[in-house]
Amino acid sequence: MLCQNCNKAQATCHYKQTINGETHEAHLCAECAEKLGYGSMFNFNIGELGFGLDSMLSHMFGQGKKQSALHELKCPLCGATAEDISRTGRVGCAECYDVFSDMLTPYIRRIHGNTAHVGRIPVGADEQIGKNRKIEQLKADMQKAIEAQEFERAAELRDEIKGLENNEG
Amino acid sequence: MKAKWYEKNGPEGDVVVSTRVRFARNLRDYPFPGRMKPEQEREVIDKVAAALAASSIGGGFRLVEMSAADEVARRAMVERHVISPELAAGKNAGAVLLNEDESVAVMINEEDHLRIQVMGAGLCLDECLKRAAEVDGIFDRALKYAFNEKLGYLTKCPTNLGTGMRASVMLHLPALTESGAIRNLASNAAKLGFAVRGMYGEGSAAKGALYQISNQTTLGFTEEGTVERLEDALGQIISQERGMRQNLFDRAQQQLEDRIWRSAGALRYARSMSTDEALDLIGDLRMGVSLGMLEMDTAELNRLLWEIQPANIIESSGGKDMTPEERDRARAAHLREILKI
Repeated sequence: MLCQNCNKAQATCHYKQTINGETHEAHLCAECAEKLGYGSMFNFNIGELGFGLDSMLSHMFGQGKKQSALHELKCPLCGATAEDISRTGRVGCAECYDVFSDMLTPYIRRIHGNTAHVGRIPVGADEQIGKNRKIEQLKADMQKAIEAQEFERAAELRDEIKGLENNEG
Repeated sequence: MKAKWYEKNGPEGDVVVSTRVRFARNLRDYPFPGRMKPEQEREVIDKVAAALAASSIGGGFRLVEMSAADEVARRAMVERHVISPELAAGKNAGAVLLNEDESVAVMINEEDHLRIQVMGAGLCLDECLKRAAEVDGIFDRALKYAFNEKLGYLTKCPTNLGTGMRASVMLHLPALTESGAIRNLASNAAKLGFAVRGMYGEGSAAKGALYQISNQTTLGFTEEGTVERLEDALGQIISQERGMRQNLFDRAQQQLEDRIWRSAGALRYARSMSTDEALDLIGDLRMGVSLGMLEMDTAELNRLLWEIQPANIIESSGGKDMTPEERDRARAAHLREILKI
């Protein structure tokens, strides 16, 4: 097996870590292990080791359908593309989490487990969360209306969603 | 100059050097750092600085822009853990808001728009968390944070999602290091979702038996819950280290005493000393104090851990350019001055 970091030397150091019940492994050559701060100590950073998002993306890109859709996606706020995010392991802006949700969700689960935020929330977020829930509900209703071919009703819902989204913040 | 936060003694000071809590925060209406236009970077710095200035604690802070700080000053701040190497590198137009004793630092346009950091001497996680939350509240009321109900605070790196909090404690573990038990400890900590690293974080070696232990998980845990779990783990590490020190003392008191006094001698009389050697020798003295072998103020030893770092030595010598040899001499002089053993 080759070292995951340099892809040149033979991997002689093998590390294993479990976070939230999920196991991650690292296989490195002695030099890279030392450089990355493994050694006598355990030091693990999924993002920096470059597995996770990268391998997941190449997997997704390599496999048919989602490929073209992902390639065309571009964040309207910051202009980040799927490749930008995959290459850097970093997201472009808050909006990206919505835009690339399909791609990021499995990655986030691999890091954190299947869980949701329970910590502090910003002031005023309660109100916003309420509004977001409303928007989500309206979108679901709109989908149903479209499926039932009630296009007038769908248009009304669309306008209501737009109204809520526009006066956001 | 006002005394720095590390010039004080803190709880469990024989083993715990310092505590740090940081929150990663972003503004909703701006792309994350690295994707902003220069004028947006400027706006973010101005907005964040104005928000703090308008608050009740604003008067105690100064704004240091990376573009206005010379390289030595930036490196010295990195060594004191006030800013990160990334901010110092100046890839984005960044700045830091610093209070007088440097216990509170708000980095602007680092990896995230805001990195709110609070540091304290010894083990003081609850206090640091409380203060960080207070500072966070100031920005929260004045700015619009990027937040998502399920993902929590939205951060540039998905590994920080959720609380965006990293609680980190610097430990001095000479006895666990010498006995080799540190390896088990590090892998056990990893299983609990904690990372163990050297003094200067990711990729840095553990010089002077100084380690940082910090939480790795941020989503699905509250800030208080994370701090509690970290405290539990630390309680065990601290008692193990104390047990090992006592064990070392019981088994080899004379050799240990000899080593510690030799270290004291070198620190007291050397005319030239590298950073690594100084860290090891200061570590010996810290252990000697904890075992009652010599009487010294631990806070005096702790401040040296920061003050003897290369850029801090250059800064305190008033020099702009110093060769490594000149630094080693200045370092030895500084040690002699502080440690009138």
